[in-house]
Amino acid sequence: MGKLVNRIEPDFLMQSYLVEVAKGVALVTRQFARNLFGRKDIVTVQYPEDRRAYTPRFRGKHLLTKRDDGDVRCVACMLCSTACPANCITIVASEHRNNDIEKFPTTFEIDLLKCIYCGFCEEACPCDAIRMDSGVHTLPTMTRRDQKAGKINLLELAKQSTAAQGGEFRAHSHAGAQHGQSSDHH
Amino acid sequence: MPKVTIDGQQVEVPAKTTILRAAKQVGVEIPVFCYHPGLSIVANCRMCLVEIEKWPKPQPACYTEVSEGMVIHTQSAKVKHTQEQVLEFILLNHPVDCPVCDQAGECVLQEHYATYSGKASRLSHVKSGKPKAKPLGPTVVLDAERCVVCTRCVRFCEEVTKTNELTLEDRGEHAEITTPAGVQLDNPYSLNVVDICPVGALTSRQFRFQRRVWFLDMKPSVCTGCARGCSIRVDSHANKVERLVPRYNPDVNNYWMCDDGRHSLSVAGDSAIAVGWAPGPGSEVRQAPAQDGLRVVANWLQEARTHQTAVAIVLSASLTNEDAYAWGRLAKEMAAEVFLLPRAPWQGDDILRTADRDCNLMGAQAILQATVGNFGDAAAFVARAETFGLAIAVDNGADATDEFVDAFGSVDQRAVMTDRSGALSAVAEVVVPLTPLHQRDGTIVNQAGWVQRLAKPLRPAITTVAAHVAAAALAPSAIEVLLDFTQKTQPAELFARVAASVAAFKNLTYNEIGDLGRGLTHGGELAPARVRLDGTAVWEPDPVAPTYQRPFQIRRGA
Repeated sequence: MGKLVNRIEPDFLMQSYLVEVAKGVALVTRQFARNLFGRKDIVTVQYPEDRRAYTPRFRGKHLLTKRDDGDVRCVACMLCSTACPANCITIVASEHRNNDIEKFPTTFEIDLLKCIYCGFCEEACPCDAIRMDSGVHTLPTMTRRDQKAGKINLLELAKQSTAAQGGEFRAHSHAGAQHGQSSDHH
Repeated sequence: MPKVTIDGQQVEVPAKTTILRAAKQVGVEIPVFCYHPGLSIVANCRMCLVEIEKWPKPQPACYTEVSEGMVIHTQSAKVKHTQEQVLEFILLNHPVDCPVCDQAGECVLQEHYATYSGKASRLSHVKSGKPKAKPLGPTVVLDAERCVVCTRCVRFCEEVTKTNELTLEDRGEHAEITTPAGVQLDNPYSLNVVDICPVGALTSRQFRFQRRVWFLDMKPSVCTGCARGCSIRVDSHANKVERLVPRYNPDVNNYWMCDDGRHSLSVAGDSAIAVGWAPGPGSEVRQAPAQDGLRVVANWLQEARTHQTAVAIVLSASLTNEDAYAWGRLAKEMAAEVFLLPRAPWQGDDILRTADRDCNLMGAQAILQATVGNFGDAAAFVARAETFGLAIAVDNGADATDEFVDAFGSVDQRAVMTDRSGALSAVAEVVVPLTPLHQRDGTIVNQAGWVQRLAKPLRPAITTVAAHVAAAALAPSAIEVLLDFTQKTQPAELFARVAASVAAFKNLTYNEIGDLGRGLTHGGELAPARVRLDGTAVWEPDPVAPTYQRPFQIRRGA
């Protein structure tokens, strides 16, 4: 339901505009005086010198988290690209030299032009490997190619994951055992 | 015939029927891991335990035969409790690494857990670690942790291939599938163990990590690797074939297919061509799509007609029936001589592989006899090569002898239509790129006279043309029968034309062939569905055969 707004029928005084113009000038003058003498309730921010802080839930440019040894945390399970409604994630998986990790992405590419920043990928990720809490606004670029963020690019923003290291079931057996799975969320 | 009651439903089944099969007949699903209809029964997974009245303990449904008056419960509280406990036991040491496991999405354990248990693990102990990514041979990789010790793979190597490469080592939670020292899982059917593995313990080296299975589009088709014509399912994604797996067909291949059949597509991929070549202006040779090449060949045919030059058409036995028919009719109308060039035989065996590597020799022979009457073989072509002014080969001649290639090369005008480069295309003046069989519709006949349909899982490249369309494009407008052989004609209509004019296919229709195929009629009446080729027995569809159908489908934009 929309909001009903009463239309004001202008009377003679309003139609003459004289009083209304005087009211407008008074309002602008009052505001100007307030701003000039430094009131604190100014909404305008001195962008780009000052910037508003993003909320912690802001979904910015994606990042890939790292393992404790600095290697990429992603195990190339493709759940993010399965969940992705824009079909913007391309992963090529390969055999990891460590048999306990097994699988890792040789290519991890996000087409930021296709991405709709819905956050389904970070929700789908069982390893806390892809996140969007970088607080970085995706910048415009001169070519479409530059909007394809590859593995190296996504790892540059990498943070230490807040989740325990995945794949170490034996070390964290209590945490994992209660869920009956090796990828351990807390 | 004993009468039994299963979950309140009465059913009468032949003596010696197991409870599992009897239950399936009344639509009752009983979960299994170790049972496979193509292998012996061991009843070691205990997932199929059911309750039988007046029997003291639950019994395995896969192994227990029915007897008169048996009353069986598959949904009782006792059975459900048993199933939960069996699943908890199997999952005790299962790593549950579904995100990195290739089987996820088609995993029997995943499905059974979701359907019959769903309980959280109570394990507070360390899981038993076992080797991961351990190669068992050149084609198969083992993840011992995921194994549920159903021994399907061991039984397959004992009973089907009789090579005995796999064995079970140790006991209890240490039990592990392995090969004896110095032995590798290396037989021509080794990849079947990957299909029958209910979990992700055995994975194919070729397909491992290539694609999550829920992305795959699955279509029923036929393997074109040899004259057996195994029923297969083609799994593709984004217009690329990812893997071939066998489909149950009791008249052709049962549950299996050979490794070479699975690899036949990737072998073709190495030499596959999407663009041919044709003489350009002057003496240069340039790359050309099918239309350009066909224009040149059509001109040659026109000249040959006016100058009364002898024309030879060399056909492969790996063409579809529709192709063979179109080329046969073209040869007949143009008074060209037809030669059939089969591929060199390979080592056959008594399981599936036939020595004949052409997928449609029987069909091509029947059709050419009906359309042209007489046709020669490779030796006949070599003997008479110098009399021809124009030779068209619908084949790459990969297995042609040097003698044959020389003879072909000595003809004045040489055109080759093929989907991959080979000996003949190397000496051709014009190469017309054909659409490969796995991107085509059509029908083929196997060595036993069983007609099956190819699926069209992929979109063909626009530069290629189907072989029957190429024949129609070369035909002068006088040949009315070929006018309908266009790219857009439905496969059912094409097959109807073949069936109408070739006695061997009389009364067969494209719809009747279905996914499982039908026998050639040889001019007689169409046998009822599911009658074996010798006409002796009617088989019933196996109620417990794996369907290889995915339970859900993810729809995606691309």
